[in-house]
Amino acid sequence: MDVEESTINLVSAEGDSSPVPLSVAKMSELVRSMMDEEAEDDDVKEIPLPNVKSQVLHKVIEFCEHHLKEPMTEIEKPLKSNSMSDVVQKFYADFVDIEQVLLFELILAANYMDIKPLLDLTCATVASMIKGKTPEDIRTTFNITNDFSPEEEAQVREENKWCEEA
Amino acid sequence: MEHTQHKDEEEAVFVAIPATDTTSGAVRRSRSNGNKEATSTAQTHNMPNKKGWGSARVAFVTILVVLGFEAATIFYFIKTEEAANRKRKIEHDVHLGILGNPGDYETFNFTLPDEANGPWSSKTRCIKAVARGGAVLEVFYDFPDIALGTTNHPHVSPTYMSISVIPMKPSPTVVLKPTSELIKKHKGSFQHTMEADGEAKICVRASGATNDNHMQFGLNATIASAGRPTGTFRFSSPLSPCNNPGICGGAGSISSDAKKTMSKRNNDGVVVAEAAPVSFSCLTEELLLNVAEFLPAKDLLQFQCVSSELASLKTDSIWKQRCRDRWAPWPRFQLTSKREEELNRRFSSSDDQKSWKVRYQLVEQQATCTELTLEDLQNLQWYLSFIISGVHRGETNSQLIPIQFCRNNHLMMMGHPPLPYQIICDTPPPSDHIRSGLRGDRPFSNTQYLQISEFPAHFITRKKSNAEWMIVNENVLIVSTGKRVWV
Repeated sequence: MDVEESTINLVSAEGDSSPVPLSVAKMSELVRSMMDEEAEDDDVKEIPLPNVKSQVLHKVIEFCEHHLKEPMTEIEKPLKSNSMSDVVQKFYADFVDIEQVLLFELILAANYMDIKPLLDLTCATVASMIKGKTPEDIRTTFNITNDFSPEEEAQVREENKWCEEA
Repeated sequence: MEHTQHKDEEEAVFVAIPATDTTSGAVRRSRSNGNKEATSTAQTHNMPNKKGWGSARVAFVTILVVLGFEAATIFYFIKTEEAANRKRKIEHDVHLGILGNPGDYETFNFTLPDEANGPWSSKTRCIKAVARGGAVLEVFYDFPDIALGTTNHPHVSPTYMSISVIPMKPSPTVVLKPTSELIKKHKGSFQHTMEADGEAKICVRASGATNDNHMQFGLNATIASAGRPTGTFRFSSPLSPCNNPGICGGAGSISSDAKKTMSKRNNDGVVVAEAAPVSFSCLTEELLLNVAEFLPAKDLLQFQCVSSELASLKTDSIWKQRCRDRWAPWPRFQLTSKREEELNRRFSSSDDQKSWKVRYQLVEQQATCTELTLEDLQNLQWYLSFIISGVHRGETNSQLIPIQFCRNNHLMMMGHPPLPYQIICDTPPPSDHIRSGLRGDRPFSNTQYLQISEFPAHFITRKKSNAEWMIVNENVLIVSTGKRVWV
């Protein structure tokens, strides 16, 4: 008879509690280290994650659960394609086919919870959105302000002209 | 992160104090072997008094509500970053505090908490405010340390101030232009009308700020009451918006308790911002570098042309890896430890050329150039193989004969008399008779060919695959090898 794996509750910023199997929760180095530190205290069944919203936490858990069943292929650096489906398995490519706001939330959460594969996946996704684009395209994509003075911009262009000519 | 109410003699002041840098928590934990920092809850801080900034270890965000308009003044130091100590930088490098009313700049004197270790730099520093579209943002500045004029003083260098707006609801079709000004006097002000609801980024960049030339900057920003923007107003630390309350809504943003405090104050009539959506600007330097690691060289260059913040990213280690990858199939350029030592020796005299980005560029130009120079011809090692009846005889290295293109413009080959040679810079004759197996992976040059004695023209090409030269006619194949270093 299978012994059911014990669970731990991850508590989001809003206070929502999500029961998660230990093996899933421990993909987060943050959770792992906290559990190690609290090992002597048997009553510790909750890990507060005050910096992670519920919506984001659910995505994080979804990633970790799937990663245990089908580990993500290591993403090659630099990216060979700007399509994530060429880089990782379909599940992971679909996983990051989301709005920018959620993508950046996931990056912050992956960094905060210290989940390297998720951080790699999300950062690579941002990189894939940059790959092949001009600086102006990148500004438009991410709504970044061009704060160079005209002289500085001209200088930067001049310095990088070799790349365009290559 | 916690928010406390602070009252002085005249005004209600809302103070938000980031207790820890949560966005980089994971990195810090791995360095410190797992402490509980990331989960620490807020600590209560009182506003330090005017003389007490030396002990401050955090950045402050301050909002003043004065007589029907929102005003805040921020005085901060441009301090810096040291690659080896990024964590400390994030926690301590900028100090914000109330100055009081416009014109009070001189009355405050802030001391760095760790001045002995605190290098200063010219890196852009920004503060942020959130306001409704149509609001007029007026920024007063007091930059006592900038040198003006056109003298040869080493610290005379341009200081720029800019205001740009990141709209709450980005539109791919609308690009908002920043207001940017070269600062020409020590004190002054300028205005910017918010084009849309969003976050205004007020940035100062002083090229002259260095470790030897500390510069301090006073800013006082006001949202004019004309038109009475009903929106919110807030400043944040220039380093990482996500370290600060309400700027970004994700990990690293304000805690739920703090949010409750904020909304309560809202009910009391105090204007406080809603959290702006998480965006690219919320990524810390470490996260930006994580993204940059996935970019190929050309895209990395383009990425760093986007803004001054991205231009200042420390990407040298990424460039080194790009060099390693790019040069791997090129025998002459492969980044072995011996070659790295050689490059370090070669570039030791020039700081600029020490950068791997510059090295990448130099080698790229060298290795992809398709015009054979006399210098390459005379400095590289060459081998020749005879071709009989259209069949390349050189199937093994033993059949490759070493040759040398001497500086006296004669080709030396064992068992043969010296043969005069010359690179002809002209369109070569047709090369249809050269079999495809001897054509390399690029077309022959159509601007130059090699003439050796009276033999038929030798066509020149450079292989993409290994960056070596191929010189060929119907009788011989001459190839360069990776034995010599590039010059």
